Amino acid sequence: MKTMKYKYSIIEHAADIKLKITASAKEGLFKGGLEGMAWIMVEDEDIEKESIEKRIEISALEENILLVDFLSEVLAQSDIYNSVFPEIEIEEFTEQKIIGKIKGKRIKRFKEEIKAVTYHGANICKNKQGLWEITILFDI
Amino acid sequence: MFNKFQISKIHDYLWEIPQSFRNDMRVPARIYASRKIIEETEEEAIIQLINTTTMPGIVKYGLAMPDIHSGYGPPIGGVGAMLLPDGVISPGFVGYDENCGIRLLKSELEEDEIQPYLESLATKIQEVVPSGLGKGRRSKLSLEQIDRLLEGGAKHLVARGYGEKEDVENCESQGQIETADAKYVSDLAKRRGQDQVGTLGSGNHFIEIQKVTEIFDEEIAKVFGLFKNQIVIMVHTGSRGLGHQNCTDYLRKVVQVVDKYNIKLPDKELACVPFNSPEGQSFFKAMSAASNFAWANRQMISHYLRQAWAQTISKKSKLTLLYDVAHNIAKVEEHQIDGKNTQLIVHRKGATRAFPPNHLEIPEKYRSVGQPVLIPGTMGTASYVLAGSEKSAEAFYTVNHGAGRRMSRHAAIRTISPEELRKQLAQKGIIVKCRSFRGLVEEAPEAYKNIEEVIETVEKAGLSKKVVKLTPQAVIKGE
Repeated sequence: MKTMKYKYSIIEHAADIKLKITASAKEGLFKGGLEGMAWIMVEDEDIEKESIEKRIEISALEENILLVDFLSEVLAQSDIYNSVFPEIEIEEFTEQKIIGKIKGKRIKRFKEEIKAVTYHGANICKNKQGLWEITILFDI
Repeated sequence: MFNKFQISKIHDYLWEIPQSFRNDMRVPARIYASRKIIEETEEEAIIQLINTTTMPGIVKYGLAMPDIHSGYGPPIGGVGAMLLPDGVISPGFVGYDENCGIRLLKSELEEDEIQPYLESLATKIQEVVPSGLGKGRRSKLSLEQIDRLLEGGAKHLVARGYGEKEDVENCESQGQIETADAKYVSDLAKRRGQDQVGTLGSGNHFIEIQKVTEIFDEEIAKVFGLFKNQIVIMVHTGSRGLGHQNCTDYLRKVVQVVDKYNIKLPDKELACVPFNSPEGQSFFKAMSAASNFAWANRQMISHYLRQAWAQTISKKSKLTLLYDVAHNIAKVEEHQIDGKNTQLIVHRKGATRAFPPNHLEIPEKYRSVGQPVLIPGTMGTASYVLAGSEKSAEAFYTVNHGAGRRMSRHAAIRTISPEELRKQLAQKGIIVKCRSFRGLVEEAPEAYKNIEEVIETVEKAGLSKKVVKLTPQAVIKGE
């Protein structure tokens, strides 16, 4: 697989958190979303040594919904297993499906409780630099 | 901005955007606000309100309360009433924290009687009511136990000894919506709730020890059992991870079927289906169940608060429930539309139901004066108890749910010093129990609208009547 670059940053919002992700390939938006979400959820000092992996398989009508549903599923797993999952080993990826293994660590506590990953304004598009871009709004 | 949205003034505290503003609007949009509040309202929040008026079956107006601010889908502080049986129900118009709400427990003691023990009471509360974000979660309930809470709500817990008979009588819907069906809640949602009963959550959720500092209506205060200098405890939380997952699950399902019902919407977060459709009925049963879970959560927190009170203040004096009211919910209610009693599904997202005197859905003891309306301020500022009034029929008997944010969390972190905030609160004599400085600053009073202005708007618009003012003595944000 070719090297995939991505980055993410926080955008101001009155009550919630918006995460802007840019990537050279669409899979990068999924990887950047995972890492960005984990970064919102936990402080480094609260990450423990114990690793955790979970298999994940999400299907959706289209890519924007797929990304939100994917992050929602990871959020649920984080809550249930008291863990964060900043990485994924992708096995299959299309605009309507993602299958892979999410990898993370157990944590002592969450810094921020993300209630949900929303569909609000979620729209994958190309920016002026020719990179893929999406902004995800998290309800906190 | 007025020109941009063609906003016109109905009266000093009510503004309207006409249906003609956008082709897809089915009804006008109305905002209860003072001139100052309307001028400060973000454009995005107004667009979100206008978007709600495009939803099928919406009647009269898309409404916003004076604490309006931008969210996703509808704005926070939004109200949308849809005609039954085929008007729509929308998970996003309830919000992810289904039945987030407020309850207020009254003590029989005055401030000077508990002042020497206030610090130890606050410490004990922080210890016994976890935020649920750390390892200090409570023991896990079985999925069968979760099902019983989903269907039985606070009533189930009281029957098992975790509360008083009055806790049920004085709770909205007696703490249990009968349309709940646990079968419609996913196992994933149930699993998220297994260790979260009796936990606060983070963000703006809190427990606050407050004092009654001002009485505006002696007669109603007496009926509510409130008196000057009385100590009360306010709880703000909801359905935790279970409710968040339930909303996520149903939004995911509904987004996939909107086309089937030929529904066109400007934002996916408004995704909705006809109330009487199979998907609409499934969501209604599941949301009712998650709402019961939230009432059970607040009931369990009350149980822990009573333990903390008995251990630090008094085993003899009691904490009794004044009222418990939801502010993220959709309920089937009867309202007058064009002179006829009409069944509606009323969505309130960050908005509080406020029934008037003589309404049959409020506890008998309050029926002569109206429903107690509980409006929290911000950390370090006043909260209010109001009483519902007949005038608010025009707003489907609804008022605001708080002060409403005006500054982003990041702007708050950038501009407010935690040390300065702690000093300010200490100068006011307010004890703060909060694990994170950042969490404290995000909820600083400066990050919110002025609660006095918001409450004045509510009263001047005639939506509710001020009864008492409460000021904080101690704020607790979980372990």
